Amino acid sequence: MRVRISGIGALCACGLDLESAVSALFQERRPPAAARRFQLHHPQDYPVFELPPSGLDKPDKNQPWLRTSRLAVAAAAAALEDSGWSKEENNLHQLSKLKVGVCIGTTVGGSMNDEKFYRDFREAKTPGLQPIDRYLRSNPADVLADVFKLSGPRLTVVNACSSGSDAIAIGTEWIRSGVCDLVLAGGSDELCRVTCNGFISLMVGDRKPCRPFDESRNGLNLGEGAAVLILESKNLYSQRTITDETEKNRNPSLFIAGSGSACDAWHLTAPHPEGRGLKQALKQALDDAEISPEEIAFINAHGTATKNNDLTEGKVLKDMFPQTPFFSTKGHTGHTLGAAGALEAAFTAALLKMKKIPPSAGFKYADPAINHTPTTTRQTIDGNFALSQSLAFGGNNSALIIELGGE
Amino acid sequence: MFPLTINGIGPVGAFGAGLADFKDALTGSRKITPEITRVTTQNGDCDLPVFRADTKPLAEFIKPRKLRRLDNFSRMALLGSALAVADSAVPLNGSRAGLIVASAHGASATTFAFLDSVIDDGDALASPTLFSNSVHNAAAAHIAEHFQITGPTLSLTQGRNSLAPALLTAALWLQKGLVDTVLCGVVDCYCEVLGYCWQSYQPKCRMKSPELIFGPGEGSFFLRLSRTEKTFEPAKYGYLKRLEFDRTTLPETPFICSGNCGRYPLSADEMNPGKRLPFDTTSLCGHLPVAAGFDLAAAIALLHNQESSNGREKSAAAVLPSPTICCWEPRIEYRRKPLTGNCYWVTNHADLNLRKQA
Repeated sequence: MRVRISGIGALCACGLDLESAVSALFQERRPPAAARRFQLHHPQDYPVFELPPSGLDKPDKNQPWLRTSRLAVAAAAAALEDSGWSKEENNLHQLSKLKVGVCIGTTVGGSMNDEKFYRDFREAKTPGLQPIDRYLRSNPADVLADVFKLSGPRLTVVNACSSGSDAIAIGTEWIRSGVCDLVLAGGSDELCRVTCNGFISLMVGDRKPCRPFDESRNGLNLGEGAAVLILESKNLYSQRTITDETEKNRNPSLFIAGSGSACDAWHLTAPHPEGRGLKQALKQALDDAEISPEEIAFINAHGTATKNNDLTEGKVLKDMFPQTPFFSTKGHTGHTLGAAGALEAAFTAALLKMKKIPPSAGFKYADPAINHTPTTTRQTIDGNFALSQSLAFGGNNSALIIELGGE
Repeated sequence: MFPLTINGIGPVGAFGAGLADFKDALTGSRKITPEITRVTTQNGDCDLPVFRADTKPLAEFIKPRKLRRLDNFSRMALLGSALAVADSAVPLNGSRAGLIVASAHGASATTFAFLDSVIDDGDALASPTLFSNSVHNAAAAHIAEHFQITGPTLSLTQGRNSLAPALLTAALWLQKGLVDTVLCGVVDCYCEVLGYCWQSYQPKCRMKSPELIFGPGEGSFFLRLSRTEKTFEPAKYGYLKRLEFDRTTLPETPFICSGNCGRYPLSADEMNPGKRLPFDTTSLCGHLPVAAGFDLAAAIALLHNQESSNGREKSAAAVLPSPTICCWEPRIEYRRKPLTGNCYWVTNHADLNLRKQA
């Protein structure tokens, strides 16, 4: 059963809304830079993709949460606006009476790791509990449910880099099973000093702008952002009043056609060399959508630019989708961790609607070990299905198939 | 979607490991000795009783070489899941299994150990091993690798309300036919920072009141679940009958609600002795955000064997007018809100018309 995507909201380093971010995918990329909100102390700089300065930079009394949850609220508000739900106060009141779930992926948003608090604690300074209070009040799913006064299941997915796409897959099942009438599903993550040091310690960070699938790739650049999809049941959508403007935005319609999730069961930090879990997740998603690989018009790959990820992912794509164009958008956004799967699903939906795809940012020279080349120029595409996939730390693999115009 | 068959359980905590230890503790025949830890807060010094879990039994399941790689959080999760599988007495087919690990704070001790490496050695020498084990889904990765679980895996964090969305996801995977069985559990660990926070939130040192000996705890609880219509045989531990989110009235059946340690006094309605079963699993495993898992373990244990030797549990069994117990997981945040919570009902009777469902 297809599940309607009735609205999308997204923000990342290449745009503070979906339209500008997708437009930026076709432009010269804005290079990553040293983090603005914190300092790292390494012999060399590790650039990041940070959001442009905005009102989201500091918590205030209206938004006293961690940055991750503030980003999630901004994306959710934009998604609701796009879906037509937030046009009138009355609409939101109606929403509060429905079964509305929230399923959000994150990594940083679920971690108690305030460095200043911990440094004070180590020095026996008996620090105040404000950072702990803020962490405890910042669970992304709880924040969204409380802000928009929603009643229904709340779930914050912490499946590392596949959290965002896993959250959308779970939200889809909530609609399919009738558990919810509507779901806010997506992912959100902020740039964080602790996480940056963690990835650098794993020696997977690049000191230059990342180059997914390129022979010279040498690791990832971290990024931040959020994306939320409004998933809506057929009954609810057909019953509610749709304004002309919203209808115009929606045509043609977008759907989650299928999803798949599987684990490598192989290694904590390395993907299975043959992509065992990814292949299984892809097969599951195709079966769920009831389509063949040939029907996929394009693939928004995970493409982190780490040696291992791109090698495994590239091999699997060549094996399963030898003729299908693919690209990575992380050259524009950086790796946004728990937001990545959701952000890339949002891009995939928007690009499917535009019927064109961008060149894979940062790619120049093919890697003979992969022997499969991503897009190097913008292309028009023909077809109604597109795939967005995520590979994660811990061996998680997740795939989403998005459809244009079906029911 | 429901009912789900409960085929095996694996509780781990200060009471020991496995159902027998848990039952012994529940009935009062097993003495639990918390570890006393000195904590200094803005309110002064306090000797805090900490309910630590002992994961030594994990050596029965894991080779020592692999065991060395695991932090305490992953050890508790792996032990809970291994006990649940062993308890079911049916080997796990990893290719048809799913895995769900829910936690409020994740591997917080390892997160702070990673921060120690940053602070002590500098950004450039931060420990990659500690970082990779601090990631929320590291425990799930270890469990999946051990059992070769290649189905879907989910790590989630929803504070003290983490169990209900975990159970819902298990039910959806089973209903969709993605897997035949799901290992589903909760886990949270203790660390010095959590002890500091726990005590700082207390109005005064609890140890001054001898009748109120409780403190922070740690542990894990895993269930092995399957679709009831696929089983065709009586469940070993009954059935997870129903799940409800954001319920605004108290359950109609007898219910268990613990994990509050008296920090948020329940209302008269919530304390209703006619419905609320008169025991609190906090005395077994300490206070931890995923205590709801131990409420479910207690419900399962009570229904599995209603013989009790302890007076409190006798009275609990005596007020069981039906073979169904509800676990009431209130959403208690930082300010008192209207009564809201998640509920899950477990039953030991197959009054579920299985044949019809099959």
